[in-house]
Amino acid sequence: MKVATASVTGKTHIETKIDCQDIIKKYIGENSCVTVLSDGAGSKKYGRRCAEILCDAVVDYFKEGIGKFNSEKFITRLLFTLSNHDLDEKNSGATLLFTVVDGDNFLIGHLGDGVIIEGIDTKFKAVSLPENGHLANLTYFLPSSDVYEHFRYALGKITKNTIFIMASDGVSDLLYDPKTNIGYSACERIAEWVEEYSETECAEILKDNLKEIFSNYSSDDLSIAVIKP
Amino acid sequence: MAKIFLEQTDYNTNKTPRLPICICIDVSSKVSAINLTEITTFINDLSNHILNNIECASKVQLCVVAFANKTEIVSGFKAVDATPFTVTGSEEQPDLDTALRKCADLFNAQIETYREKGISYYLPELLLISSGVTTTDITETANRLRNAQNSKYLSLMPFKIGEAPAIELEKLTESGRVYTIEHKDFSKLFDCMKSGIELLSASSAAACNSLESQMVGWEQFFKKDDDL
Repeated sequence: MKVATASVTGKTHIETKIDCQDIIKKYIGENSCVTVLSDGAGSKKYGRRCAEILCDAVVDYFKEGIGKFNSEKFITRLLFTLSNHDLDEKNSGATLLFTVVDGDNFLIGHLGDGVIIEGIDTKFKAVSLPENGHLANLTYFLPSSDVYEHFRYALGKITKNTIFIMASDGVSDLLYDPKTNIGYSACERIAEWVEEYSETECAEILKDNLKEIFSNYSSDDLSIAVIKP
Repeated sequence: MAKIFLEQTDYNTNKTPRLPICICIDVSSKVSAINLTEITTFINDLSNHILNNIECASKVQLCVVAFANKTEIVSGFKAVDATPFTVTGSEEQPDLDTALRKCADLFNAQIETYREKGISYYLPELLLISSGVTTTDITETANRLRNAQNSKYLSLMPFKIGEAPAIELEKLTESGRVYTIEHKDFSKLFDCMKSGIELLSASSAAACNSLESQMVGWEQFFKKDDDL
């Protein structure tokens, strides 16, 4: 099991001296793995804090695997956790993307923008798309009243060559064709890096690419996580 | 370890979200306070400003519409380039209704193009600079534009110049807010546009259920600025 992740602060946040609002956390157990990416809302006071708490809560929920997963109870628990930290719709907000691998099974979950791409052999497809309403700079966050409607998840079986790529907005736009949802060859390159290099080396390569390539197309914070079960 | 990078052919470079902005200007003789030479300079200055900001240049698609009794599309929606805009005046009375309908149609066509090409877009912005005088009834078009704003398909900022009452322009937004400006404020108005466009181009996602956050840029600037 390999999980390589990278985040870089966007140009806008560097100029305004604001920390990166994207958070990635991972947990690798004996036969399972949880990877969570959350993009805190820059427009909210506690966007980053909200993202951090969400990542921790999701890792905590799935440490024992996906057996107990119930989407409604899961969301209720996340809302409860945020509320316990005095985070509400007015002062905070964050998107959520996660991949849980539990033996031969996987679960992906998603709220808001960003993308989850699944690769099998050399075929990559965006399996969970960004939800932006109809505008590029609008999306859905936790906590919010409409989160139950907009949280999406999928369960599936891992094959020998399965790989997942999760990316925040800014990175996601460049990785797949929105007409066909087919991943561009960047996905293949990234999969090759994960195969070829150690987790740490791959994370470094991803970071270099976020800094030097993806940042030319977005001034937002940029994050990517690659999960090779 | 040597640094390894993706090749440009590995990823999609043309999926930058677009920010469509239309400036619609009343050039009839009724708008006596508008100096057309000056406003042409301001528009070209704004255009150069967009061109010189990497993020704005890749996202903003600017459209300029001038109207008196006839509506002229000075430039349809397109990425800003070095070609200067030329706005000419008219002695005729302004037909605001036709101009607004034309703008709404231009936005619709542009959004359809984005959808066909799979390009995402920011909340379109319509900036209207008008005397407030019109020879035609704008009620129906104003309803259409208010619906578009309520459904988050458009942001409309009406600026009134001159002494005519604002009653027609008040129909254009739910709040009825109209910004009355004087000739001396034009420079400031365009400076605000520059800053607002920069802010919008660089803005990251806000919550879908929050309409006010869409106005980041314009609203912030005009609220701060007591002179306008």
